[in-house]
Amino acid sequence: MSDSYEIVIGLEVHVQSRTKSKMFCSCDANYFNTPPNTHVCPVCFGLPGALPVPNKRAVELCIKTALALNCSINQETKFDRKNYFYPDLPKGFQISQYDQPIGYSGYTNIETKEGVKRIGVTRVHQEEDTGKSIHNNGETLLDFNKSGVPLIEIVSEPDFRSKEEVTAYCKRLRQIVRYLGVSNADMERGEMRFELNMSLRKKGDQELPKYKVEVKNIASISVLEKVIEHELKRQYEILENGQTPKQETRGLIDMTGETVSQRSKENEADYRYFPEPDIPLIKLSQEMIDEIKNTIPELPQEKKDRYIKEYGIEKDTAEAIINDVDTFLEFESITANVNSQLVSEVSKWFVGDYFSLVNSNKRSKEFKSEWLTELVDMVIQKKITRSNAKEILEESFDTGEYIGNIIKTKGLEMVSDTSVLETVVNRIFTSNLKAVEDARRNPNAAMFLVGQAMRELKGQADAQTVKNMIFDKLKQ
Amino acid sequence: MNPKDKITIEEVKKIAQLAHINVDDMEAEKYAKQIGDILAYVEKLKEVDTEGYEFKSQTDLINVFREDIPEPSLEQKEVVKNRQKKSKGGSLVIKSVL
Repeated sequence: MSDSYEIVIGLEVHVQSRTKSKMFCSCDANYFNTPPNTHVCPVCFGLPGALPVPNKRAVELCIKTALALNCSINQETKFDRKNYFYPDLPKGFQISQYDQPIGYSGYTNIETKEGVKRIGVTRVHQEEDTGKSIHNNGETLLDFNKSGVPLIEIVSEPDFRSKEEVTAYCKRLRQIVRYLGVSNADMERGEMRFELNMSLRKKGDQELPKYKVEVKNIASISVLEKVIEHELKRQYEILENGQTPKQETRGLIDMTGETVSQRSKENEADYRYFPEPDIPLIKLSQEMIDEIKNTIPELPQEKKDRYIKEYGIEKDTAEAIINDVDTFLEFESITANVNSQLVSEVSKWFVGDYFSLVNSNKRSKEFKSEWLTELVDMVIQKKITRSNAKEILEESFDTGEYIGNIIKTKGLEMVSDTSVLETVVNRIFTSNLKAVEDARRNPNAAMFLVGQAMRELKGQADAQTVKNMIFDKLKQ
Repeated sequence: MNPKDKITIEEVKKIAQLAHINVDDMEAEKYAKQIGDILAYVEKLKEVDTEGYEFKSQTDLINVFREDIPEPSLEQKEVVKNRQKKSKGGSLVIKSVL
């Protein structure tokens, strides 16, 4: 694409909350891999007389998410009906929120090549999921186990100017909801889904383009990226022909990211939103909001910044550690109560050798990850060599044998006793008289002596220490 | 009735379409008038002086919540009972909507 256009993207992200029961009824919310239509009740179907009652925990999780995204909270909030017909929605309406969403006017920061960028969060609201339709051989199979599962919708401002920004934001959001314990956000299970609103405008234009293309039901970040690429090409070609792309909803053809026109985009009025008459108003007290605020843990960006500032951990290393909850919990547990130099050194081993072991080898049940810290400490203390440490780690990881035992059995402990080192150096000097003479004239020749000494020590000594000793002795 | 509140036949057809109801031209004309009359009647409410009254919802209740505790659902055979011929392995079957 020529450089004359820029992308304008806004995103709607749906996240399934991790609750035990559904949003408005007591059906079990854990529907994954359950036989069809076994987690449904009259409320799920909206049968006459059914009364939806909001799940308190779900509302709390929505408030928590909104707060973590720096939103203001509507202390008076309510649910509304969004009316439309589709077979996966037998009620004929989805219970959602219209003009008083739980959270509004927030933001979150993402990291881009150009630095930190703030992405506006228009609103965070609570709604319910629909059923699942499977299209198969000319018929559609309906399973309503998913219908009524709590969904948090996070709507962004049209602040994205590149695919990379979109990806960074989606990954950041996924981390945040996982840190909060709001959702597993497992995309394979459909727990996080995306809707893209995209258009192009001439570079330098400040106004939003006159059209907007919406693509719904995008199930993963990688597909989202492909859709953006396809839309970029498609919309660019239309604009270059002097036309304006149609304002419409487009559907995914398959996972290649190609889209096809579905229908002209419905107006908001077509949904005929109105207050859900079966659910009384909700008033959120400041105490309740503050209480929830206090449960928000250190979030990914804060954690990353702290790792860099407090321990001097490298940026990419920090990102790799904070990426998921289990990883940073493990890292923090093995580096608790050690000095920052050691934390920083362990971080390199952790995302380097340790990660590759975790990914490729079978971990022995007896292996304890805090041994990594002990091992790295010994490397810093020059008790073992770096290359031996790698082998020790691998063996310990595979066998579960304590690293100390491996060092002892294999005699890998470095000689750090100066008297032992001096003895060896003296022996090398007396048995290599000619080389000593050469070395006195030409310092480059001294390396031969260092090599001899290291050989005698079987490599179990710090080469720098031995070198210094030999150079000092040569000066005598 | 205020002329700006007049409901057009096109609007009736649009509403019918959103509601998935078939309405022919004659019906649309009839409903346009009827809906217009209803709206005009509701419009009268605006004449009531609400100064000094607080906003009220459908009920005085506020914050009616449930604890997050799952309870048994309907049995699958109950769910598909009225549609037995059109179910497959517990899923309800409809004409393809793709």
